[in-house]
Amino acid sequence: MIGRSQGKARESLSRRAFFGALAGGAALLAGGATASAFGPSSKVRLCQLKYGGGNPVPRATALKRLAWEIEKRTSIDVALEPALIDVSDKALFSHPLLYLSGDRAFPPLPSKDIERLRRHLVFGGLLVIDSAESRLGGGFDRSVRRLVGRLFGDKQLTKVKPSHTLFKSFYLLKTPVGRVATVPYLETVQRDGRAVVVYSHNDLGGAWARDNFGQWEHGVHPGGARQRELAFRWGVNLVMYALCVDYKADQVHIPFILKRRRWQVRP
Amino acid sequence: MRYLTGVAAPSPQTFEDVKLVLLSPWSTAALALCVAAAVTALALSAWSYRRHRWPGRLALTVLRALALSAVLALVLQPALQLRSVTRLPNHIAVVIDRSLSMSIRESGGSESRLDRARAVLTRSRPRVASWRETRVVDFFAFGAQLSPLGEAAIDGGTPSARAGSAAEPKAKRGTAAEPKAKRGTDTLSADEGATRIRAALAALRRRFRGNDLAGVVLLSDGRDNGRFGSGQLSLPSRKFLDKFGAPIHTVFVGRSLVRDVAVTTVFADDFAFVRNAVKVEADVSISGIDKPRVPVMLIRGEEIIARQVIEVKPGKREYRVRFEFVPQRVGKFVFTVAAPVYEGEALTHNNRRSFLVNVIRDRIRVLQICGRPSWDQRFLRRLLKRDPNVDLISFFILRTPTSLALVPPSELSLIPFPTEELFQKELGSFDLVILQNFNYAPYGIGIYLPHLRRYVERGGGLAMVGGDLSFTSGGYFGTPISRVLPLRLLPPSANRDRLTSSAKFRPKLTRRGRDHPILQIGATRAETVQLLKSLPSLAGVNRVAGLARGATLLAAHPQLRTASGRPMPVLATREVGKGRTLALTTDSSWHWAFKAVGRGATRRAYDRFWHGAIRWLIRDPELKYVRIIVGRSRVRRGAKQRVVIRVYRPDYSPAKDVKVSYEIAPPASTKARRKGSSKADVAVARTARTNDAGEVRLELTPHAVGAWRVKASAVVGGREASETELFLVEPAGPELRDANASDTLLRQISLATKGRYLGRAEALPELSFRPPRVLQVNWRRDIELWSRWWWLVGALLLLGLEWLLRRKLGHI
Repeated sequence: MIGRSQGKARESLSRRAFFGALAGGAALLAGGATASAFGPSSKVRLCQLKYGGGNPVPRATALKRLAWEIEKRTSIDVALEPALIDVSDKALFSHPLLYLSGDRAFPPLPSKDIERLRRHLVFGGLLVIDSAESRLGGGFDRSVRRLVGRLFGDKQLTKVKPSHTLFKSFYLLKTPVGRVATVPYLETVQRDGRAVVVYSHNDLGGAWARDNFGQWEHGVHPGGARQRELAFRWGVNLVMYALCVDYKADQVHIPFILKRRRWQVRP
Repeated sequence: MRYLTGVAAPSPQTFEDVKLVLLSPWSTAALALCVAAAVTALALSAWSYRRHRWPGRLALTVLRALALSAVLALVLQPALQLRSVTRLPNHIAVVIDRSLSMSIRESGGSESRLDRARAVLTRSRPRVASWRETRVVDFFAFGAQLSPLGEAAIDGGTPSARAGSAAEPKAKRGTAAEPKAKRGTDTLSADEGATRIRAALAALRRRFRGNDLAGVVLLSDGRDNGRFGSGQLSLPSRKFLDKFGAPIHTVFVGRSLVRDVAVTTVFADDFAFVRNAVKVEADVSISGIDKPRVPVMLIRGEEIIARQVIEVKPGKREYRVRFEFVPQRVGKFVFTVAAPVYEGEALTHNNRRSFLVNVIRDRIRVLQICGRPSWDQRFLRRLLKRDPNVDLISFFILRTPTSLALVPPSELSLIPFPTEELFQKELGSFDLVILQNFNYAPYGIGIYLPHLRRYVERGGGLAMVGGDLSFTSGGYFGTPISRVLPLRLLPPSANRDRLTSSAKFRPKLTRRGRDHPILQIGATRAETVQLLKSLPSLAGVNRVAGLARGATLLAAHPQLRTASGRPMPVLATREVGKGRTLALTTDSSWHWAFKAVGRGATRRAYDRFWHGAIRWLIRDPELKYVRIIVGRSRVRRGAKQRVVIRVYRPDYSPAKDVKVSYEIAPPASTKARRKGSSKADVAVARTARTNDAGEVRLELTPHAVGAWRVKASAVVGGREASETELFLVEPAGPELRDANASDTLLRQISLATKGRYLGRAEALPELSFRPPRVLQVNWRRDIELWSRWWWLVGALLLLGLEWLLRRKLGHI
């Protein structure tokens, strides 16, 4: 079969190339879509933001575990080792998806960093904020609201409706949960029809974190294993949303778009 | 009365006009009050007599009424006014239709309609002479407009009206451009391209505004193509005739139904959207044809694209046919609605009507298929989604067959990949397909790859964007797709390094790349080169064997080489059949969108690059270096047409002083009859140089009816660029679209103006006209009726009689 199709091809093929092709074909069949990208720069790398003061990395293993789950569950070619940078880092614009976490108040970012972060988000980035504090009105929550206020103005954070693409970007989800399930909603800042900031209050990282011996670092309340699974699904959905944005919202329109073209088959 | 006038007038011959007048010095209001008082008094009297029997009651009332009238006369003072006046004769306008349809000879006879009109007037000479005793008779002819006509012209005739089949285009060629001066007042020929009866009547009314129009005699075949039309009159038209102010007597010079099939009107939009159904309707007039069915076709160029059959019914002439078709290519096309020509038809050229349709895109339809979510896919999708001109359908492979399935499908938002629908049923509806890091094999799409290849060859656009699932790594080696790509693929290899490179690089522009519209990311070539140098570096490419035959290399890898030692292609394009393909061997073009922003730049370079690529792939007309702008897409035969040829440099600035070759070709059918064509109808092929605005301006006067083609070419950036444009030359007017005469309009005109419809009269009968207006009163005398002695005696007698009768009946 391969020989026949090669005979039709314009490419001239040496015997060596022919055997190479056989081997390569076998490799593709075996590897399928799991073949890795061009290199590290082509992979999707989760990136945690550092900041001065507070506790910027309360769940050190969370993103690594989430990356592993994404790698296994989806077609995303994800770098298993997350990045950890601050806003002033040159590499900020290599990572369109940023993850900011903490469990206590943190000092305000310098104005220069605010401007840089705003530029990142406005031109295509997404900032996922995950509160390990597990409650509204705490020090971290106040710091986050101050940060978002400086980025986009006050009262920009709004509750997300269940019809938002975030709830269906990969898994069909209903209520946001993490290590805890204290706040049954997410908050976002919307710009140009997409979310540029997503704020979770339920300590997603706490549910994701797992040590090198395979033990979960934190218990999940009140839902146990099912809740932890849902927390991973939220993680997948967030990353999928960062990559595909409103792709899932489009899907409902496709039958209409296809149908409204009154055209018959040409080929 | 005779007694009165005989008594009062000096002699019976000295006055010509008598009328009753009131001499009362009181105002009209006062007189009206008096009349009202008299009527009221009479009513009260009649009411007071109600108890009497009928004979007495009636007699009393009559006597009271007469008595009151006699008294009222004293107040009103009626008188007879005798006048000696001078009248000037008023005008009768004889108006003859001189439109082209008047040249038609029904049933192959030797007499045209115009000949018939002449004969009517010739036989009516005694009648016209009798009219001239008291009136002035003026002759006019009209078509598109009214013009005076010498009476001699009616006898004189003209060769054009008498020779051969005057209705055929052969006889009419060039007449529309014939100077009006040649058709002096002493010639009458049926050569006007329109029949506008209302305009002619309006001109008559203006002409006789200060004079006295007694009436109009109109001789026509009733085929009006102006504001009246040939059917029922509209309300404004009826109002116009009501106010005309003189009777219009009409003579119908048409005869029995003509043997003719005519496409009289075509209803079609000038614009249509590609791959969207277009509706065309046409009115077809069929008369005298003894066929039960008449086929009507919609033709594009030489190709019949739709066909309808008219079931001919006895007594029915007008039919409407509807066509629906789907244009599949963008551009300007000539369509024709045509019916067959039957033997013995009065007119043959009205069996077809052509029209132009400019097929455009409503939105660019893009199908984006990605093998996996990635930042490259994400930024390209956002760009396409932001563009309001793009109708985007994306399909991303979110989960591969090897991904873990820990949950039931009902908890996933995934949908099946509609491969058959996308790659077989609906593929042709897309202008552009982007395969972005997509490997087809796991999804059973291999069987559709031949479709994708045919799609490109038939005019579709295809872009393949790099990644570890693209080109050879995507399994495309040796597939139908590899035969349309701009690149030759390497054979599959287990060694990944043989197929890809992860090194960072800055693509190097080739000579052609600098001028190509895809890479016009700066305002000038220098700015483009500078901009590309300042952009963030890219990372990773798919290695390929080299360029495909006929492909254009726009950008290459600065270090990597192919096996033949040539630079490794990064960006290449190719024209395949009617379609175009593009290959970008990296998945990091998003760096130009996002990383560039991080450096303080904008994403303009990225946006311009992809917009340029899309526009080039779909053959956007705006990207052409040579453009032709015609003054009007449809012009009347003999009218001037302006043509502007614009030439642009690779950076789209006007190309000054560039040699342009152009050709202006008349319709193909004209070439076959070149002997009869005028000089302007012969194809010309010339060269010219562009002016400072990069333009060549032309002007021509086309006569041949049909689609004219303007082709221009110039060498831009070392490559020949050409463009073709069409415009349509239409007959000088709508006159010969339908050969049949109609008396409907003439009947309505006569009815509305209180004239007579004379039908197919052989000669003009006696007709009624408005009397001449009085111009001067020589003397006047008033004979008072009320101041006579017998008037007073009569009034007293009536009052006395009434008093006596009332006494006798018991009244005081």
